[in-house]
Amino acid sequence: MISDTELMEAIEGLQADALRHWIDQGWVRPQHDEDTLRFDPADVARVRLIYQLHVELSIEENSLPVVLSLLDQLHAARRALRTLAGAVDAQPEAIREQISSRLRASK
Amino acid sequence: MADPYAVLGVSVTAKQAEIRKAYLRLAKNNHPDLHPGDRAAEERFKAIASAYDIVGDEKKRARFDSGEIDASGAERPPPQAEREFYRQYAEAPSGFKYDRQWGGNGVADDSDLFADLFSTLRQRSDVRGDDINYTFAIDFLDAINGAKKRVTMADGMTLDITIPPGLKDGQVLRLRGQGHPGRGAAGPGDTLVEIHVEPHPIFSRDGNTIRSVLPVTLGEAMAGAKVSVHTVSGVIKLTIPKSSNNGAILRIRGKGAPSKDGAGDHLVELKVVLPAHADDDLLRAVAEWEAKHPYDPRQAQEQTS
Repeated sequence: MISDTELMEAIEGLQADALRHWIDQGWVRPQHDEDTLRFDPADVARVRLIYQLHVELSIEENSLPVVLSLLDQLHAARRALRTLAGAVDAQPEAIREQISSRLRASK
Repeated sequence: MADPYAVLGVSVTAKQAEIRKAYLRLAKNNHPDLHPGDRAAEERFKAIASAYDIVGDEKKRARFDSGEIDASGAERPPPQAEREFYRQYAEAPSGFKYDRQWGGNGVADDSDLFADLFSTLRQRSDVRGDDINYTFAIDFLDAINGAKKRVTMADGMTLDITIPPGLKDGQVLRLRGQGHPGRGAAGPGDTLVEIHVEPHPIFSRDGNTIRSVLPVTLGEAMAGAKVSVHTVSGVIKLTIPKSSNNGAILRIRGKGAPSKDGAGDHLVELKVVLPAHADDDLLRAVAEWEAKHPYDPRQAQEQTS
């Protein structure tokens, strides 16, 4: 967990008011404890992603929520698929066979 | 290292603006977070970023063109090399934290998605709601002394949590009935908050024992003194006995972390700090004293080796 000061040191070029704005918009949600902000490694990676999309790749402010929302849904769906794959893996051999033959057939 | 102009698909005479345009187009098309699961895209993105790192900067481009630096930038590795991409976190099992912020547009959780897809799951009724898991970091002293806090979790959820005095790092607080709602007649799940205790600059903790290092002067260590010491429950006066050596450990009873069996102790390790500058007076006094009272602190080592 790192503070906002440490975060701005870690990401070169990141401005305090930009970060503030992203937090106000709910694009990044660090832990709040009274006035202290703490960013976990996932938050840091997310800030870096937003910085890249917005500042380096010039994706406009108005488009960012759409991009982030789609990304979040994609990640959630992929995580759900992974859970499903785990459930399939735990099935007896015969059932797994049936499932994978159906998957092959649908391609 | 590939030729940066070839990677970006621009000619060596391209203007800076052209290079930037090519970079933006390629970077958008290959950004790993926009292509989860596509390893090739990640490799291409890294190559594109390294290439742009060189020729996107007019000064570096000039040095590259004149052969002063190679395609890797020679003196420093490309900044993309060790970067951790967001998707590594987002796709981990704990990556759910940003799922619920889009006001119902997103996939709320796995079970909703599956219920949506599989009719067999939809038909099931009376299922207890899932637990919600959080991790939360608190200050060292809040963990020792206990605290009541209204906190905002990573996903925007506000919770009132009570830290019991003496809480240990990694302990899980259970907020009953504050999890996802159940289906049918079944009750909701719980909210589980795993607490991480941040380190403290002075104190460390070993079970219920608190440890700290106390710097003292040469005079205080030799002649004894009463000095102020920080404990987890405030500043107290501690008597340093006469002839206390460097590394000596003093026990303050009952000033450690609280627990069911009573509070632990606070162990203070003395660290004798010599004056920053030893003047002639001090050196002469020590030399005269040692001449009259020779002692060998390494005697024990000599005997065992």
